[in-house]
Amino acid sequence: MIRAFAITLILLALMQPATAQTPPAGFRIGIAGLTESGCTATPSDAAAAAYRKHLEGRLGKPVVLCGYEDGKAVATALQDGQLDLAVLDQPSFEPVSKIARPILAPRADAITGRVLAVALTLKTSGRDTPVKLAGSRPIFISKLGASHQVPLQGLADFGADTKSFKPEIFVADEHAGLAALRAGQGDALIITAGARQRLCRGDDPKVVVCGDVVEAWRGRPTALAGLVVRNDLPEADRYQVVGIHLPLHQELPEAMTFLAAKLGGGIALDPTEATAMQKGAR
Amino acid sequence: MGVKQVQKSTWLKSLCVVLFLTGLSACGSDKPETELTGWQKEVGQLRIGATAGEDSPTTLARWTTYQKYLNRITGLKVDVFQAADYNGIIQAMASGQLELAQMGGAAYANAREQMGEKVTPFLALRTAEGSSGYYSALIVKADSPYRTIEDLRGKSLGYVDYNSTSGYLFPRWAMRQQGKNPDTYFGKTAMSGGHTQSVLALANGQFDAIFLIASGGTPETGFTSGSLYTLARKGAVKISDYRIIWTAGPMPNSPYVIRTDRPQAFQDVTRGAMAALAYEDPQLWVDIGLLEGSDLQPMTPADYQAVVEMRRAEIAERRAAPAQKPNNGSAKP
Repeated sequence: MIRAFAITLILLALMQPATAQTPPAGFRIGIAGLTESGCTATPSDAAAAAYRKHLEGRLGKPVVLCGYEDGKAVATALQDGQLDLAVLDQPSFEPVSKIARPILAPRADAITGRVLAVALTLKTSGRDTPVKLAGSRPIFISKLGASHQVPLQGLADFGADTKSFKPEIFVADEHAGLAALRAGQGDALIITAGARQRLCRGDDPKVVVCGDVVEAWRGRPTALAGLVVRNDLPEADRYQVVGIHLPLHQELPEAMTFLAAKLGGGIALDPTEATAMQKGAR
Repeated sequence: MGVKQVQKSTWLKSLCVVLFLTGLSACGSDKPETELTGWQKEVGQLRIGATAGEDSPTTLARWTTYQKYLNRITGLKVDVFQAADYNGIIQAMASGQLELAQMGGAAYANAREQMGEKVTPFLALRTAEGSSGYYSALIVKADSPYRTIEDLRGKSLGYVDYNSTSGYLFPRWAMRQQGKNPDTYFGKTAMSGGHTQSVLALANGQFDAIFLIASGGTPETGFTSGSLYTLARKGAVKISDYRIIWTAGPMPNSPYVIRTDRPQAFQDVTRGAMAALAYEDPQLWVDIGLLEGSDLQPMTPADYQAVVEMRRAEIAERRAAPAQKPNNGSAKP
């Protein structure tokens, strides 16, 4: 009897720490720099509280916001299975890139997202990779971010030494850009993938418009921050979280403002590919 | 691929079941392997309405892809229905026979007037450069003498459909803004039934001009997308055989609409899955006829309120002058 009682006490003692470490039930969101440390269903920040309540209503289960000292601690908690969603910057994400993926990233403004862009070069130039674009003179068709700064950042993320580029030239549109490339006025025509499609697909299936050029690069810039989930989150759950957050800036602007502050800016959230926060990954 | 189309007078009969590749039986994806629970059980199945309207040659490929994709993600049996005209989809949506559809802004405005808040736009296309609108182009044959819209006074014109934004509602509204009454300006008007049909009718000389969707550019840069360009790339027509002489727009891109009385979780999963495709599989995105680098952005009823107002004004005009309304008889090419 005494022996059984002692064993029970030991078991209870062993169970106690485990119980204390059990993460709260429901959907857990990890954020660095939250006012509260630990997980709470009643954050003091009004926007954070509104965001939590909004998610709880949409997910149909309890939601808690979990505060951590920094992004590294958030990433560690995600890796340990203590979180379902994590707000991470790119450096914090890298250590957990094997077990997690971004699903959403901030959009800079209404016309500037993580634009898919290409660098076109003449086949005869031999400049067929981002690295081989070193020393090139780039041709752009617009000074707007989506057609200029964003593709430049993408090229740099994929290994191009953009600092070695010669002074840029700007032309009216993609057709003028191709003409300038062929005329040797520049070495690489850097345009959005949409512009490339408009340029190269032509209107007549018998005419090949871009037969003399090659894509030295195609990609999006690395997302500098994002909402990250574990890879083992069921697909439907992942898309539900995406679907809830996409219209957040329309449905609950203060919640978007709250998230933007934790993400380094942004007016809305766009979906991302799984490799969006891995530099130079296609 | 076998495509079975049924054109009948009522909305129900006007729906056609689309049979797809891979030996699937009837009109849908495979039934779920596991028993449905929660919101999946509540929805039961996902029925998608695909209009043949705004850019019909690519519509089927797009929805075939979404059918398989959404089946995998939602676990629901997914059926795709294609209507012979816009109204078929609107009425099917209004009567609860569809959960999801893509339609032009004017068709959505019609559905909104019938269904109220039970329908909402929830996604629409956005180009790589961030623009989210398209145009209506007045198109004539290149060998015709018509150079301006003024040259078409008293001539024959093909509209697309009463519920078409670019092929009917928007250009008529824009003409009125310019002091031209579209009901008396042209000598004869008729509905072609679709954008592709309009191009073919113009090619066959049934009309002197047509109103048609034009996208992938602006009046200043020129256009690269829309039914005329799609048909040209298939070798069916030559762009050089046609001329754009007037444009109206931009108008907000055609929305994907969803019934709001379906479970919120279903709406969120569907929205997330559809929007993520552009990023997760960009090659597939292009393969189904969508612009490279484009994506889907969330939309709200407010984005289409101007179209709703235009439609109300259009109806008021037609009621005021019923004898002048376009002949919607047997003008289908």
